[in-house]
Amino acid sequence: MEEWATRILSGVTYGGLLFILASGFTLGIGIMNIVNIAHGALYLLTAYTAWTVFSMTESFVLAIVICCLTGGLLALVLYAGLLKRLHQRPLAQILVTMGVTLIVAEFGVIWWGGFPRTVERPGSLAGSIHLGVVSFPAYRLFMLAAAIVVGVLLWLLLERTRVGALVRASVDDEEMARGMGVDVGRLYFFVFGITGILAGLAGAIGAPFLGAFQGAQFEVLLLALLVSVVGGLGSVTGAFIAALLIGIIDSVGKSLFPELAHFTLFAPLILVLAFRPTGLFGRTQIIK
Amino acid sequence: MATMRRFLALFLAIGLVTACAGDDSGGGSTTVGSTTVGSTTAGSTTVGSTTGGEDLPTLKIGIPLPFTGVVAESAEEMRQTFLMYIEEQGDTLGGLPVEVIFEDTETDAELVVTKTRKLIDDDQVHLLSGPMLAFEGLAMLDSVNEAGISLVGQTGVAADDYTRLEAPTLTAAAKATASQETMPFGSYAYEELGYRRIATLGQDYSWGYQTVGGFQYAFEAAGGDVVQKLWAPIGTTDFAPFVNDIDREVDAVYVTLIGADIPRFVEAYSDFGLKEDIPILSSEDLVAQDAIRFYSGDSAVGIVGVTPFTTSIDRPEMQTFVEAYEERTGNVPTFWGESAYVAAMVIDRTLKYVTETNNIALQDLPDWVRSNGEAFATATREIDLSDTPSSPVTVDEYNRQIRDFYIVELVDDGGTITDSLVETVPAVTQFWTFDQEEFLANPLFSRDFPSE
Repeated sequence: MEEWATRILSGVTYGGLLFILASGFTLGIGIMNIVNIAHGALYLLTAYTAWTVFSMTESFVLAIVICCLTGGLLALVLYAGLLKRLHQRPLAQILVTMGVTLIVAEFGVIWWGGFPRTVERPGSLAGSIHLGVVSFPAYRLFMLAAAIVVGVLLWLLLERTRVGALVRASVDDEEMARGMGVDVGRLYFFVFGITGILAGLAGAIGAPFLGAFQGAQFEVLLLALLVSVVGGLGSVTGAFIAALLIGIIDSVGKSLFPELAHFTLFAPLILVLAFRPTGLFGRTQIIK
Repeated sequence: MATMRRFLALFLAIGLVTACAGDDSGGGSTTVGSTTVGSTTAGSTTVGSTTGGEDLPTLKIGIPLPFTGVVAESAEEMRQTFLMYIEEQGDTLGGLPVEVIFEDTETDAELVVTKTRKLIDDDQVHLLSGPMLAFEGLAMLDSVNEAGISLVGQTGVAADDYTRLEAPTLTAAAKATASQETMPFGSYAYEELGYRRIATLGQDYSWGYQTVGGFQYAFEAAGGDVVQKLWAPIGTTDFAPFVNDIDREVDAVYVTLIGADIPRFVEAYSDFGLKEDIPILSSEDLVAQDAIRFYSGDSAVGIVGVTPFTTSIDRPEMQTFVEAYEERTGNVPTFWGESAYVAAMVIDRTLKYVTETNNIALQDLPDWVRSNGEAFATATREIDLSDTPSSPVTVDEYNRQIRDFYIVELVDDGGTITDSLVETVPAVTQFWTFDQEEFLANPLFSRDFPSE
């Protein structure tokens, strides 16, 4: 009983982190049709930033704020400088953002060096919390809580606000939205900024858990892709459920079938693609 | 207009990609004076070509190292220490001026082969040194054997495999084998630490198999029991499933992990409260100088590990080495750099030895080295290596190191983590205390050998 509670809880909390890593990416690809390969690079850069801020100030809150700002700002520069010109051209976007990824990673080597950097768990989140049956690491619970907050805020933004309605309208029929006087360009600029903020948040929250290191740019990208595809591109609810599901399957799978440890993370992907190619909550034909 | 834009985008993309991928890895012939060491990573460095009045031929040494990729920083350290040794010898090795040609392998097995062939065929080097990583060493082997050229191994020849492979021109006088390091530690865990039941967690590839295997082999030979073996894929993002599955009835957990997996495991282990109950034992990977930089907080304090290199030993040669490297680069050296330094030392002294014993004129020495790869490698058994920075070294009949290993513990030294020497295990051979024939009759250590 206690063993299983720990396993499931480990999976769910890891899933929380996966959702945070993937939310920005799935928003970009689902709503704007932008395949932002540089999502992982934004994670890497902001995770390094979190390390620097935390070592200098010992304030985790400040690290989160600065990482979100950095991520958002970089995303806006990336969009205004490069991606805006590549509207609806996924292949060109992939190449350009791939190039950006390589530049950012190399910058990381020059600035922070080639060795992994791990952010210390902030004091209040370093210990364990007792939850009835089991005692559980506080930082992992924090990851889950943060994921729930991000998920709810995103859902409210998209489903319950005017901006959200405009975004949904533009996704469904861009030409019509333009015809109705919606400034689609500005709207996309705004949404891409949010994907950057989410990447920055992932960097700050992920840094104490995954670390900042050369290779993280692709590792995080892969995890984000995994969650986005399983959840259905662009669906916040889908990404959330997919992330928790993947976390649980990975955790339980590694315990029950240790010899399959290489595959447990990707097993859900194979199953979902086989039976539901659009993902759990995906709509048909998202990429035109 | 649309076509134009498309071309622009493509051009930009290609520009962006090549901007970072391309450094002058073609090994351009940058000739730098003996006082300034070139700033380009790949390329050749000629030192001391004008020594003395006599017209001596230049000895060309080819070294493939991964200057781009995740381990670039340590590869640069290896380049620096190799050149440092040459400069300390008045810009010569074995009395000859030297040209060192560094090639960037970009951490790519196929490129290692290409670059090795280039060094042998195009640059016509007289001998090879390097590489850095285990897979690079195995990838080079065919080309080295084919050319019959001597390879003075650095950190990339640690695999146990070579003792059972055909590699007559290889000398590993500058690097011990994987299981050689952990076997004495297995015995130590049983005899000195008094552990009886141990669980292991290894990275799921050959270095993990061979270090875990060596530890288990010696631990069980002493009478202990490894009751559980777990294998984590490289790049495991969440260690909770492994940590939670560790048998709580064991006396200790033995761990081999690499890179970013190390802090992730150490943090998870401490997160779930195992740190207080079950001590961690490990290979060099968790306690060596470069791993210590990975840690934050005090999660790693208390780990006991075995390593061939630690700056905590009281050894004048180590002190001199550390000071020289710090003065040169501002950094503390690690086992990566020391191995390259010792490789240069091996080349220097073997050259002197063969010159004397075979009465070779310095004029003919480079050509002799190139065409007598096996004799050169064999000669490394005869040279004096009692003064390498980390340990006195001798070389066995398989051209492998016999050396001291150090058992260290990570301690909190006023806010920073550092390693403190616990015990020295002197003169360890690759067979430890076991009978050579019996040991070699076993299969290589693997995922399944020895079994639980």
